[in-house]
Amino acid sequence: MEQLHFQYAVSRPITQSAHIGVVGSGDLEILVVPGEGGMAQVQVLTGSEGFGQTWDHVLTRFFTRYPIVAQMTIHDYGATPGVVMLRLTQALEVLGYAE
Amino acid sequence: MVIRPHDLIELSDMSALFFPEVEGEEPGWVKDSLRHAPYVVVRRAPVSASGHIPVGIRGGERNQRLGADLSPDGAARIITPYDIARQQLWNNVSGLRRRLPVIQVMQEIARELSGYKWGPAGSGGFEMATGAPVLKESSDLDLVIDMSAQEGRAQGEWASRLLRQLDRLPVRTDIQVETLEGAYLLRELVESSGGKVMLRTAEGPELVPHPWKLKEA
Repeated sequence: MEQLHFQYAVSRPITQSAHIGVVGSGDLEILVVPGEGGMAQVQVLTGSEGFGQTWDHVLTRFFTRYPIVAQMTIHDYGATPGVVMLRLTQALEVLGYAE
Repeated sequence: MVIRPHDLIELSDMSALFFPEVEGEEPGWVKDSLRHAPYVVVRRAPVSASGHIPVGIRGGERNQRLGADLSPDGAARIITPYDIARQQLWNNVSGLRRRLPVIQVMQEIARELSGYKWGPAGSGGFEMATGAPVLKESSDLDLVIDMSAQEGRAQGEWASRLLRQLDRLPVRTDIQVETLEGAYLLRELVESSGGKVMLRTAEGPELVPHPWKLKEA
């Protein structure tokens, strides 16, 4: 297990929480709660070690496009970047975020 | 020759493998692992314009996975997850490795799933089919159920009962439900309280309306 931590400068507050995704091979669980200050904090717990840079790419892309002030906890079970991005987008839908 | 995701392909010719993700020489573990067990697993991705099959190579470590393209000339034999179940290949696992949790639960899994077209995938399926010792004490069991010939309606009750049974086993099981459109995770279909669910297709994952709730509505 590897634990990774990322933070991104963000500007759009959120008011709701979301829990999406599923515990299962090639998937992930994401818990999103409102954050504080101008930073999004992301904690990733993953069984696939050595993919820190890939995570940073995907999360940078996400928070650049959707700068939500969120605290995010991710449990990863070997999801591909495509699946990660899809689940993050699904979390936005649940949060009722509009661009 | 129909090839579907999760199928294992025994290679007859290593030079039929191409590594578009790698510049220069492929990593050393790739050759090692293919020398020990010359098998690749079919990935869920489009078949290339030149007819190459999208496959993956599995190393001994969890982060040792590499995508490749296989020219069909290099394929000697295809073993599907359904073949593994039908032939009960977990009985071929030798000696001490029979004590691994994933192998231990297979007979019970087979009982629970009798009547369905199902089979083991992932590291469990790989070890049962090839004999290569890739399973770990802590491995989860990946299963595939083919529902492409079944009507999706009224699967809900059966599925939640099945998950409850399997969740009592000492091994965590992940079940992918294969349909004509792509694959769903059974757990998500059972637990999702509404809204959209993920469908994995050859073109990538997408969010779609829940297939069972759609039909009940």
